[in-house]
Amino acid sequence: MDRVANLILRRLLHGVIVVLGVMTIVFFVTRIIGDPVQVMLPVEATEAERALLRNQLGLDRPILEQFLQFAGNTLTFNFGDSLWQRRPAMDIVLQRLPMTALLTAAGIGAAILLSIPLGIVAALRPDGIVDRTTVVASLAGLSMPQFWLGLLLIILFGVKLGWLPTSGARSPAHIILPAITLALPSLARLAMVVRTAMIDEMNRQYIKVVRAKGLKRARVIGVHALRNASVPILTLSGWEIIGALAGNVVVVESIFAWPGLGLTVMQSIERQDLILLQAVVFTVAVMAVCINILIDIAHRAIDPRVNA
Amino acid sequence: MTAPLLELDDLVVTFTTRRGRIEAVRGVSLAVRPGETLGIVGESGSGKSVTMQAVMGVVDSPGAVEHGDISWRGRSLLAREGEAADIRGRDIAMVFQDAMTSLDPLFSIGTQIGEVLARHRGVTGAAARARTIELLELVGIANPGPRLHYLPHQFSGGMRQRIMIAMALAAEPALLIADEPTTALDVTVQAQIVDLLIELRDRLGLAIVLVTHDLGLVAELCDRVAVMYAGRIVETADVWSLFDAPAHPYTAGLLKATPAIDDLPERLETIEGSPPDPSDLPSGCAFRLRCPRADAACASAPPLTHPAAGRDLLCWHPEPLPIAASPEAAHV
Repeated sequence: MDRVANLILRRLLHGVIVVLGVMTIVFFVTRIIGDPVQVMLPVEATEAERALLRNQLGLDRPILEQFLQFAGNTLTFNFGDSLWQRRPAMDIVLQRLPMTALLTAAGIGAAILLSIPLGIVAALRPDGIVDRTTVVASLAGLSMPQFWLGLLLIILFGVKLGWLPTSGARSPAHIILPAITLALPSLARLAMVVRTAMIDEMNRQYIKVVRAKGLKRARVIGVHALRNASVPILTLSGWEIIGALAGNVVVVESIFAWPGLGLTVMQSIERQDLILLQAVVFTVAVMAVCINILIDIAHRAIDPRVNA
Repeated sequence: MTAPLLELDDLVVTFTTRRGRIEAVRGVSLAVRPGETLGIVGESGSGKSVTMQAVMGVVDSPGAVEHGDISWRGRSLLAREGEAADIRGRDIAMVFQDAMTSLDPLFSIGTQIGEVLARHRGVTGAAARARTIELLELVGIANPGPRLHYLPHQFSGGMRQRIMIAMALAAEPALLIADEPTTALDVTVQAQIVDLLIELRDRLGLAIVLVTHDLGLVAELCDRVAVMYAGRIVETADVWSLFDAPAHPYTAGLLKATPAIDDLPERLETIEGSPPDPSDLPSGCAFRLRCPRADAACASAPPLTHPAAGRDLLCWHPEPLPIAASPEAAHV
């Protein structure tokens, strides 16, 4: 237990450095790509108005001083008021965060839960019907751009069949289409990895031994082979969650007007709200770090040979 | 004579691939009686391991039993899958060649032995723990209690083979199949494992099938030997008759190619040629193209004969057997 606590502590420290690195990049990139004041004020604004806003935002101070201020703000989770909504950016982020967490949990959770049985069944009969179907469907799923997939689903289930709502988050049914859109590419990747990992494990000598021990097939596959196959599955699952939070939700939430962080990113970019954008990036970076720590802990639980 | 434990009747195991059908085992019949140690010898690829894997139901895909039967105490294992799953691991257990990769790396040795007890004897919890400690002591693992939680990688190769043997013995089998149990080990460790097998056999009254290409090991351990060549048993005899007077030219070649410690020749004899391609076997006797005694008759399949008591032979032109070596031949 001490070693786990030690691991978490070291990874958290590591994570703080990662988040600060990300925020440093975000800070300088936003300074390089343009003058926030130029895009925040209307074109006809006077030079005095620009100077005033610049002063309000602290943009007239030396860059190093600005950076130290920004770093201090980051460490206290205080990014200032959103330029668009005129209220603390972090409040907006925290208000939107649960919706993104829900969508990611539903989409990637479903992808993980479905990929495991699918990959196992495919692996048990390589070149069988389930296997071939899974491989072909996975390739199709991987090659399909997410925005296009979302639009196809809207046309089919929203427009043609009229079964499911396609925009917003007013009822539980509203999550179905965005979750499927988020899930399918992840499901395709995960199923391929589960399949490959299970085929590898089922061909190993220790599996022959546990079969010769007369153990039930379910135990041979579900306990021995699956635990050994879990390491790559777990790693990819972590990446899928992070990939969804850090990018795919932007596309999916925009298509389905799902009021989460991804939609917030699009809105803050449209409105040049760099403060809000920084708060979102910060939050996603922190979540990515936390998920990585969880994956590390789970990895150690699965494979006790791994040392801290 | 007591009824056999394990009987194979004309067993045929084939591997069907895109490139064709390969018969790895081509009609093997044998019987193992209680307490007996049977050696199965032959070159790599002669089908000896595949035969035993078929007994355990663990032939590598796409291999399958195509013909024949495997029975345990007179009951077919192939006809009743459910019953066979109960017998395998309980009444028949197998120790494999490569101890380093035979244990699941992620489970403690206590768990891996314990699951045999739970599956076949319904023993769990403290009773299973006590029995596991007993088994590990039996195979010579010192201080087993605290080591139950160790993972396989924390043991050496020889220790892992001992653990494999303990695991095989967990459900008190009547027959232990050992597939080249010492091949992957150091010479000194090999000797220890052989001693352990002899001790366990004598103490537990185990029947053992020893699959090996090591004739020295056969001489040390076995009562009877079956010699396999290209998927068939070409000769079976009790171990001393076979060593004294091999009847099949292949057996004779094998023995000549084995150095004796008190009579080292300048050069070891070899068997001319190499084992046949299993997808392209010669007609009749598969050994005939390498055989010094072969003639035209060998192109058709040799009949099963019993030239002496307890000896089975597949050969048209066997080496002549000395009369003294087969005093009971007249009774057969």
